[in-house]
Amino acid sequence: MSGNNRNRLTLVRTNRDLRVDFFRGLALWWIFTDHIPGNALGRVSLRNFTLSDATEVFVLLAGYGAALAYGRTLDRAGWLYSGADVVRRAWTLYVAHIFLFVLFAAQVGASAAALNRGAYLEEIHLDVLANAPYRALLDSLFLLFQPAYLNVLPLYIVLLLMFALVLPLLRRPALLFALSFGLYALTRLLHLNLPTAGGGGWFFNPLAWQLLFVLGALLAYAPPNIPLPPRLLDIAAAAVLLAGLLIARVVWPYPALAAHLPPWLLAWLLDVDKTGLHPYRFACILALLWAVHRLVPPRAAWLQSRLAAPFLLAGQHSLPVFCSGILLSFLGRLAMERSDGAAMQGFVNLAGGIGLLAVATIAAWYRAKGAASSRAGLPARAPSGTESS
Amino acid sequence: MKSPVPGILAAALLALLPLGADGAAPLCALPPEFAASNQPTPRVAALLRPGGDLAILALGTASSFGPDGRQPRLGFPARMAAALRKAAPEARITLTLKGGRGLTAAAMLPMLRGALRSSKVGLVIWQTGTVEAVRDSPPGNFLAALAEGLSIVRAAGADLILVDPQFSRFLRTDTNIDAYESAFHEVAFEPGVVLFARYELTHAWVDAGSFDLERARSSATPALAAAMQDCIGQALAHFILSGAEKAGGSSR
Repeated sequence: MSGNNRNRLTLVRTNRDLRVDFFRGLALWWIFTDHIPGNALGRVSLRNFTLSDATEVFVLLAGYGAALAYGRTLDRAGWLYSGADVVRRAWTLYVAHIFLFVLFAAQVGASAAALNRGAYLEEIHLDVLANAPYRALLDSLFLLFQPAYLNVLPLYIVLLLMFALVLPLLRRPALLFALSFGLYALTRLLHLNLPTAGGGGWFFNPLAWQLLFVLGALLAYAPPNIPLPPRLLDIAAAAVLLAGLLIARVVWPYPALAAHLPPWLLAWLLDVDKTGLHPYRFACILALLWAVHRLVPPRAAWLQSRLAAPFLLAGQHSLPVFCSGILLSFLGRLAMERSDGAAMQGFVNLAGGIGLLAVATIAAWYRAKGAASSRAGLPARAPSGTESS
Repeated sequence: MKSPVPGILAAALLALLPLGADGAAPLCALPPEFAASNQPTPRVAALLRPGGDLAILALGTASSFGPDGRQPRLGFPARMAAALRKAAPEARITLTLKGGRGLTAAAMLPMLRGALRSSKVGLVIWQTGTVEAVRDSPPGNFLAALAEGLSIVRAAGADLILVDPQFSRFLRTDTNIDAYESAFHEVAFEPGVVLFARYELTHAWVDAGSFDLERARSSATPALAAAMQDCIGQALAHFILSGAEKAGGSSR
């Protein structure tokens, strides 16, 4: 028992804000469940209850994690050094993205051929790759071609590169936030976006989503004093979440209602876009953030419980867990297309959970091993100690 | 129309179609809520009588062009026309198919305009929305395109039947389908247009286990997809006749 405990503690790092790890792990789990058509658990994830979803949680916490890690380096070693670390991290993500792209394209393409389901290719936008493979490969290297599900890492990469540029501004939070908000506002007003080969903009527009990343970074590096009375914010957050709940549970599931809504309201609802991080989606994630801040203390006992441990572990190794989640969720889809009865639902989600946990555990073990050997003065690759995810 | 004849005629034709809750083909079993149009289609009622000349323009994406998007004869518009001809042999029914794989509603507008300019069309069947949902293009733009299409059809004096996406678990899970469905319902609330609720109909079929392409064995998929297109076509023919019947009934 105590041995178990000690093992868990060495794998799960606890000298940090566990809320960040936990919710990042939860977001990764939702990304897995939400990408399996027909998965019953996909109906109880965040997106079913509010207008923001796992992506907002992921990006906010990515910013938080990045500032925690590289902010420390910035204070210790300056902009050039810390900026170089951020760029190296972006490079790691880029390599992971290209690797994932190849694996995923092979997985989906082979499945489509074997099962005679050309629809997979269109649904995941891989038909582009089938039609003009060399062009698509080149475009994917420049992040100009992003199949479905493979658009989160490109966002993360660009966010990190932008972050490397503004790193010193962490010390001038008001200025950084003003710049970030200004870019967000301009992006929405002028419909700016980065280009893709297909003509449209990025599915997750980095020029807009940077606001969430910067917000997360500022919360970590320079936690603001809230000038408003907490009670007022409680009410505002509750109102935003309640309205989001109504939209998610009452309006969207019954499209026939649309004809009875005032046209301006429907027009507004149809405009709540994910690509440009619509202000209402932003408000929803802010409200959730506030709710967590008010309801979950950083040292909450349940965060250190056995039930929370798998999420902590996943959240602390989000890159490999995210990539595995994309591949596993497609396997899950194939399995559920054979049957989506209770047994298969249980099997897919359990197997997926165990798979993700195994990946996180291996990543944690390598990290712990690296840290131990460097403490012992053994020749090991220096642990970054600044890993943001 | 002043005369109740088209309505009576349509009612008689309706009885001839082997469809409905106790229809001959169990695969095509039509839940009662999908059997009938909730809106009258007066142009169709006027043209679908003996000696009448009903020109139908079907505009759509891959699924209008057959189970694999390459066999228009097996697509639901062609199957609809065949069922309609069987039910109304005295009327001259012609079908023109326009559109193509991967087209958005906005991209089909010029085709709609061109086709209505060059020939006299009594009924437009516009199948759209799937491409937008899969690409996640702005639902507000989609709504605007549908509304513009409606005004084009209205100006040409035809009736419009909108056909929404075919249900799939993928669409439900991985796209913002509800927003596009809302746009369909919003536009279909206007006069001169009805929504053939293919999404709900095919969802009901999936729930009933009759047509579940996402769960079908790969060897059985092509035949099942073709049978499904046929059933959608028959259901649509039924729907058209019921709309015509309503128009006749309400005109007196």
